[in-house]
Amino acid sequence: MLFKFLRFLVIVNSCLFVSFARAELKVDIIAGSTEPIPIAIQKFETDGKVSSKDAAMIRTVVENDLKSTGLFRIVSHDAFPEYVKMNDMPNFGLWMTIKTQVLVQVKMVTQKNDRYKIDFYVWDVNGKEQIEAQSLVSSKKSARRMAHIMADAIYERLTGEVGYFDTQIIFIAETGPVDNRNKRMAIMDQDGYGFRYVSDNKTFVMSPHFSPNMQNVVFLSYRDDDPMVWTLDMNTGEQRRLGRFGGMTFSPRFSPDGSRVALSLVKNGITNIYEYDIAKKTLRQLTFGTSIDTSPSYSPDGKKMAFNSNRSGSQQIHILDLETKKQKRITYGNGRYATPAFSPDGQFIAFTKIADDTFYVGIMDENGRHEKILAGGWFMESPSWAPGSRRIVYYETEKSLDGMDRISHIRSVDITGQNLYDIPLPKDINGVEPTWSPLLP
Amino acid sequence: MKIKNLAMLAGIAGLMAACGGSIVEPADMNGQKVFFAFDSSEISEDASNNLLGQSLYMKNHPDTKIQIAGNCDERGSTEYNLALGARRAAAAKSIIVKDGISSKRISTISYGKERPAVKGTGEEVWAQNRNATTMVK
Repeated sequence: MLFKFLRFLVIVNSCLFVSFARAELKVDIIAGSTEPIPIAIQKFETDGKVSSKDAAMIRTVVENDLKSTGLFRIVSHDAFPEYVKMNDMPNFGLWMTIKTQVLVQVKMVTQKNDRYKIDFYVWDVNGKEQIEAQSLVSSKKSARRMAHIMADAIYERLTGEVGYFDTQIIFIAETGPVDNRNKRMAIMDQDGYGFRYVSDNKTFVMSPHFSPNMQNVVFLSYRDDDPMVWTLDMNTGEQRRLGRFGGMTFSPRFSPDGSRVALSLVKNGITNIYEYDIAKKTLRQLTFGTSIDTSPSYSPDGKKMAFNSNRSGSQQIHILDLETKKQKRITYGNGRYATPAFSPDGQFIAFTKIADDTFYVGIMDENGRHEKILAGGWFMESPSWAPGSRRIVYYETEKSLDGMDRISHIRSVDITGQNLYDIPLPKDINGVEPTWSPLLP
Repeated sequence: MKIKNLAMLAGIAGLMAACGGSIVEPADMNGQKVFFAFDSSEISEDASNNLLGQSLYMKNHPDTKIQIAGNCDERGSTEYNLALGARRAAAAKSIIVKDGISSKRISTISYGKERPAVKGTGEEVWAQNRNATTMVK
């Protein structure tokens, strides 16, 4: 089994110290370049049976998740003025003197059937109140996921946004020389942990995308020298051809309800976008004409599709209304535009832009307005959204000095263009075409 | 111009041979290449002459079946290049088919920018990598 779905019990306790006053503490993501909020996460209180390694790991993972957003500063453990036992009140004045704004207390105990239970309380130091209290129960093997779920809960409480730490990235791991690449699908946690291949080293594969429930992945496979869209069942590891459609198929994307797959189909050299209904096994043509139409992206309500076309003479982004069949071009800026990706909240379209021999990733609204460039370099493309629509992942290829090698990094940046970081990859592996998963089931 | 490797040298030799403006039946079909302008699948006169030479070979070797692979340079988005490669392969195929060769003898495939003929960076390299390459099947 490639992928084991985990069930978590998330119990929201009623706060021990009830306060009806609305917390003043609110971290604003959109504003950008605000001073990071100092947050202190106490050493975990345990029952003595908990692995101290696991407890320390969870604390570190939560800290790293929160720190990676750029919105929080982790207060140095050495500066902590006191240790507050669970169910004791913090001495807020003491924490204020070291400028801590958020204090997190955690208790971790073992339970039968090899499980951990984690209780955590989040305190607003200046407001002098408890603003969150939750319990998590999970198998010990999933300790790391418990950390991400805890970080998501803290992030959501403090920002009001949807968390994205309990997620994964699927991408193409490249090895070997540029003219004889080995390309395999690989998965890792959003922080780079747990890298593993999910396809073999014999078949050249590209463009992996998750289904909304993460049970399947669609991708392009060159198996038997016959490039077509295939599906990978994440539970069984089984690969299956999506269908034979009388030509090469590529650039697959699931519809938001998972019932259909949009893809490009080549007939007599002409590439149009089609939609395959998985249950009915029927194919419907969505774009017509002789231009290149590719890289489809459904709007979150499934009613519209952004796509890449050169029908206007150069590569631009167009939007197709799937009900009225009307289409319009939305990009008119300087340069070419590619790989549109609707944000999960429908507010933005992320894109690749090519202008003056430089590649950029950016965001705009669905009318092509309010363009904002988030990053630029010698080569970058394929932005994909994190749940919550506040961060993207993409890949960047360095211009190599000897021109002989190509090194690609998987990077993430928030929608203000700040807090950019690399997601660490194993040594000698290039990462390309990353796609961010939905929140794990 | 700095010659970066043998493949590049071979590519330049191919380009020079194509400049003759005449139709020559190739001795070996494997690795025959025609080249394209940036973001284009238009068949140039040189490319047309080369493809008509390939067609001549296929007339003289009626059992030969070929696959034409469309390739692109690295300065474009990956998925768009897969489509562009498909267009280049189809454009090359159509010249041979119009010259009387059965379309059943010619398959096409696109590798986009995934199989560069020449490693490296810069317009000289990219010009070599924008091609349709023939292989005997």
